[in-house]
Parts: sequence; C-alpha cells; structure tokens
Amino acid sequence: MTEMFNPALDEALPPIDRQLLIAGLQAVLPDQALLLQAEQLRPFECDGLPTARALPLLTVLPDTIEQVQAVLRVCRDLQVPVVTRGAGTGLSCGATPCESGVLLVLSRMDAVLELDPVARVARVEPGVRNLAISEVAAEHGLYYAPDPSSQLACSIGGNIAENAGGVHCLKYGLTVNNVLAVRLVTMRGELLEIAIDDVGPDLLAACIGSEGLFGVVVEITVKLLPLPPRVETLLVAFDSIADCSRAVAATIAAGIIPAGMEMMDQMSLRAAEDFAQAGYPRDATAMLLVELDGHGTEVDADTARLKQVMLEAGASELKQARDAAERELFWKGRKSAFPAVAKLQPDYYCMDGTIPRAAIGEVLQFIAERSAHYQMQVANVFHAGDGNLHPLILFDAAAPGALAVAEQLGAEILEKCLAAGGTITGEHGVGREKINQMAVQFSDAELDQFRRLKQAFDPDGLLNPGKTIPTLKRCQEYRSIRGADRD
Amino acid sequence: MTDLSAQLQEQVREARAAGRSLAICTNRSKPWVALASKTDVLSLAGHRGVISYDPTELVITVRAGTSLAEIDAMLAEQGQMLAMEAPDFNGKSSIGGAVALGWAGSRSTFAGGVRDAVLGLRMINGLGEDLQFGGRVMKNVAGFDVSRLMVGSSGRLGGILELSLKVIPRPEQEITLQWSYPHLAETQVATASWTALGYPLSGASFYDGLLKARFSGSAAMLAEVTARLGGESVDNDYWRQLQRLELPLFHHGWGDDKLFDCNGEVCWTAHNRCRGAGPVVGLAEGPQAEAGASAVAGLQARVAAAFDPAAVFQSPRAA
Repeated sequence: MTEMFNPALDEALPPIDRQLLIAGLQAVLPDQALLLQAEQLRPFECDGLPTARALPLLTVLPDTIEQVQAVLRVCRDLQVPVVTRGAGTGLSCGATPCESGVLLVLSRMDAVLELDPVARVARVEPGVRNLAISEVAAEHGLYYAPDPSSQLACSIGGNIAENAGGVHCLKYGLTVNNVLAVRLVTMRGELLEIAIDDVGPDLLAACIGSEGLFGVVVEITVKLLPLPPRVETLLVAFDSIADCSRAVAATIAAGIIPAGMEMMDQMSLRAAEDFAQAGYPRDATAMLLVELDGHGTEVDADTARLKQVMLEAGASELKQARDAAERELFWKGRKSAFPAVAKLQPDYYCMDGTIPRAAIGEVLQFIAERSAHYQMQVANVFHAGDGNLHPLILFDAAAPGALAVAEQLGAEILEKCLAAGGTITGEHGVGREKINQMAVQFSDAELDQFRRLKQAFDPDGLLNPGKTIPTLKRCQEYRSIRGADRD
Repeated sequence: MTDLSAQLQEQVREARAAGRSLAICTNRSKPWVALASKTDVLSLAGHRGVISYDPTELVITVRAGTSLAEIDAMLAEQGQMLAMEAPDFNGKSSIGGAVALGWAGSRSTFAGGVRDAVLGLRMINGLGEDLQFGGRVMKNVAGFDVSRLMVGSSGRLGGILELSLKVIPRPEQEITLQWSYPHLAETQVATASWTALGYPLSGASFYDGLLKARFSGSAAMLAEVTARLGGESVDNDYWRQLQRLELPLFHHGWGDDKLFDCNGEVCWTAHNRCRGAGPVVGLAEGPQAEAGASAVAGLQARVAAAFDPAAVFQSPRAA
C-alpha cells in the first residue's frame, strides 16, 4: 500500500481546533469558498493515484490572491497544515489531503490574464488547464510546449508543483524549461515575485517541482512557442525489443532530435489498436512512434535520414502519416494506451522511472523477468526519446493482496532504474507514493539538505507535510526492511 | 584529469571549524573576480577533467574546473556542443564558474540557457558535505531541484565539484546576416515572423541601428534563409567576441550606449549587463545578492543559510 501518514515515521502533527480554524477562515473568505461537510469533501479525498485517500479537515476554494494570502496567514497563526491542489490529476499522491489540515484548491483561479504574441509569453492563473493555454495561444500561431497525458484536465499550477513533462520533452523540455516567472505566496502570507531574470541562485527553478512544499503559486508567466510549420510522424515496427531500443540510440547518434519518440511493447500496441484502430502493426514485438517538426526543408531531410536509421536498426515495417488526419490517428492510439491497457485488468499502477537510453533494453528485460516472477502482467508504453519509462502493472484490486504485490513489483522496478543510472521519477513526482525510494536515491546528508531548503521557505513545516522528503526515521526503517529482504 | 574532491572537502571543514571564510574560485576569468584580494580561496582550478561522455545519451559529466574551451573541443569531435554559449572571459573560463554565474549567451533565447543544460551536479556545502543532486538523465524530478538552484549562486551556497550537462547536435553550418532597423521593437517583430516560418534563428542582437541575426542548420536550409531574407553577411566570430566582451563597445563605448542581445532579453553597456526586468549588474562589481529587506532578499538569505549555516563561503568580489 502507498503508506498512509504515520505519526511514528513521519512528522508528528499537532491537534487542531477545527471550530477555531473555521471561525478564522470565515472571517477572511466568502461562504461559498469554504466546504465543511463530509459529502462536499469526499471528491477531494485522493488525486490521480487513488491508492492513498484521506478527508481534509475542510476545503477552501479561493478566487483571489488576497484570499490565498489570508488563508495561509490564518493557518500559520493556528499552525494548521495546508495541502494545495490543482485539478487533482497528479499520479504520486502529492495532493492527497492531510487529515488534520486544510485542502487549498485553486481550480477557481482559472483566468488567462495576458498574452503577448510578439514576446510570446502568457500570464495565467494556476487553475488554468494546460491545454487551455495552447488553445488561447493557437489564434496567434503559438502553443505551450509541455504536454502531459492529462493536459485536457490538469492545471498549470499542478504542472509547476510537479515539474510536469509529456511526450515532447527531449526537444522542448519540461515545465521548468518553459516557465519565466511565478508569484508565490509563502506560509507567512507574503507574495513573492520570482523570475528567471533575478540575480542570485535560481529560486524559480527550485520552486518548480517543489511539490507544494515551498509555497502556493498564484500566478505563472509561461513561454509560448510558434506552432511548427511542418510535422512528420512515423510508425516503425520491430521484431524485437532489443532492435527497437537500439533504434532509439541510433537516432540520437545520427544527430536527430525528434519532437517525440514513444515506444510501445506488444501488449500496449495491441490494446491501443483494439481500442483506437490507429493502424498499428499488431504483429510487431515493439513499435516506435516518432515525430519530427520544424521547417519543411529540415524536416524532409531528417525524415529521410530517420527512415534509413530505422531500417539499419532492423525495422520490419515503416509507415509515414500521409496527412494530419492520419497523424492524429497515430497519436490517438498512443494517447489511449493507458485506458486501453486498463481494459485488460480492472486496475493498473503506472510507474515513472527514467534511465539512460542505452539501458532501455536491459531494464525492459528485468521488468519482464520480475513480471513473470510475480505472475503480474506489465505493459510498457513510454517516452523512449528521453528514457522515461511508464511500466503499467496490471492487477485486480479486488483480489486479496494483489495491490501489495503490484506495489512491491513497482518498488523493484524503480530501484532497478536507480541501479541503471537513472531516477525514481521522471515527471510524476515523489509525493507520498515514492517517499520510501527517496531513502534509496539520496543519502542522509542530501535529504538533510532538502529539509533545510524546505525550512528556508516554510520554517514551520506546514505545507504538504509527510510528502516528498522522508524523515530520517522513515529512511532508517525502510532501509532496514529493504536490507532484511535482500539478506 | 585530477580529482581534488577529498582535499576540497577537507579545506571547507577546516575553514568552518576555524571560523574562517573561503572565496570559491576557479580560473578567475571574470572581470570582477580579478580584483579579489586576501581572503582564503577554495580553488577548483585544478579539479578538472571529463568524467564521462556518451554522445548517444546527449550528456557530458565534467569536473568543475574544466575549461569551456576544452569541453567544446571534445563535443565538437562528436558533432555536438553545449547549447548555452556561456561567456568565456579571456578564453579561460571554467564550466563551474560559468554555472555559478549563470549567464547564457546569444543562443540561450532559442536553444536554452545555463539552467536548461544542467541535469545534475555534485557539490560541497558549507558543512563540508559531499552531495549529489539531479542526475545524467533528461527527466528527473526526484527531490528539490538543487542542481538548477546552484545556477547563478555565485559561490554563495557551495562549491560545485561536478556537472552533468545536456548537449545538443552541432549545427551543420551557421550564417550571420544584418539589416538596418530603427528600433529594437521592429527587430522583435521581424524575428518573430522568421521563427514562425520555422527558420532556425540562433542569435539576434541589436546595436547602433543594426540587427544581426544568426541562423544554424543544414546548408540547404541556410541557402533558403539567405535567398528569402537577403541582408548583409557578417562574420560569425561576432558572437564569440560578444560573449567574451571583446566588441569595441566594451572598450570605448559611451556609458549609455546599449547593445541588446538575446532578441532584446539582455542589455549590455560598456560597464554593465541587465537581463529583462532584473537588476543591472556592473561588470566591475559582479552580481550582488538582492539587497535590503525585500521578501525575496530575505528568502535568498535563508536559502544561503540552508546550505552554508556558518557563512563560510564569501563572494570572491567582496573578499
């Protein structure tokens, strides 16, 4: 189980006088911004990873920056924990409520405040949906590059908290590479302007991906890019995972940086094909979906070179999208892969490790072996271009012990990613889910450094307690259990 | 190739125990660091060499004292380069110094700055601890982003020992063209129209009524750009001179004579540099910590204390 908050292993939280808290918040918020009844709180009990659930003491839904500041001041005065939530699509239990805390939901702050088509920047509120930014920018021939799978629903504020990625990261970067400034409210209620233009340590970069532990981001300035004039998309089939993995490295070695390079194994591509009729090669052992974009002259030349690289790497079939409609269809298959695979079993658990590209073949082999060992199916559909794996562990939560086995297999996969020179999370964040693996990736001194950095922003430790950075005690406990398992 | 990590760590511990301060330096190539005087120095100059480089992973890992020129030469052999084009003062700047300064050159607007190249690092904090953050992979969100926090930290948070940096394919060719324009704003409208067409712009500066634009790509692509845009051809060395502060402006410019680089994002005079809405940085003084009692200044001070509680590390300039 994703471990629930445990006062013995996580920071102990003081008891809260709920009536005093309610009175304090009623004094600074309109009535409709405060949810108090259990049935109103239920929809917020978990985020996109429902393995951990909790009801908050209460939920606030502010409309303005001033209200956010006021809420944080009240909570600081009463020493009440605060968990910030955007659209709740996160996949690491980062927005799971704290039972003795306030859930601060920013979905009502959802305006695009300003868009400058020449400077190519947009100033937005945190509740704006990721895709909505690109929709507004499209009338100027622009878009916002990071595109997590949840982009239809996820909010830009949540993207900042998790440093969200997507399928175009190798060429266009993650959230951190596409944000120019944020306005951050601290637990003291101060409103800080933190920009890429600042002199000194890069506080903007540190805030992005801080998982709601530093402050509450109430406004964001994002960079917009011109829509590429030419896009070419290729479907490439392989008879072996090894050939497919080699083709990924060979592409980079040829000096080609694809806009997107997605890999699917047979289970994923068949499920996606059955679901979306995308024209995928059902007989292939593995498949790449590769996209090139830019000026026509460069894209045409790169496409020709890419085809040659793929054939030399042993591609058994190669299809180039004939038009925008076919390109959409190719992507529809990829984008529906998670729900398609999910139809094979009642539940799935999505992992998020990143590894060096050269290790893809080896790690996929390890996953296949452990999958057989636990008799639990794993489908692989992931961002091959940047080595970001998303193994989907299929299970039936109704079967006794199945979730625990899925989580054990997941933990082994993450630790294999670390051993291969990678990381436990490429884009989903640590949250509550991977809190124990942090003890494997980082030393005590490094975790202590994280804690001191957190204290520089939030001295009382009230923002998102129990998430992201494990306590020393939790680390000792996990390392000893892990050591015992190995013995 | 020399690994001095253990000695450097020991030096920080000794300084802390003795209550002395240290100024972190590498090759002292920055104009203001050359003025530094008597404080003890934690020198990373000898801590140099490439630790690993795999072109198909698009990552190079180097010790902080390695020179930008050495890194560039090694990457060039494999048809790659750093995207960030950091200033190479006197041709002797190190990668550690470049990251601690955080100034990215003309290509940054189009291909990413220093922070965009940093994937991970190893450092010594003010407690003398040897710490690693980030990694060698493109996507990594485990823990807080200390690697990028160190960009621009000017030696105040700790000494950078090693850096893992993202590299990009080196363009087949580059050309620089120039045109007359009355104002910066008109050049920005022009460059926006070019990038909307997909033209591979990799530099745009405006000075003395002239827009200079660099394009990087295949020969066929650049031939098309030249045919479509016209303009007068300029030597590509202009950009290197700009990065090294060797243009005539820096030698005998008037105090208010301005050169705009990075498509207008960075403004240079003979005596200072300013990025966007950020503060003006004097070339004689170097970057200063945010002054006064502002909320951001308070936060910067608390962040510095989080890494270096005893304030062992002093800015080399203040020394």
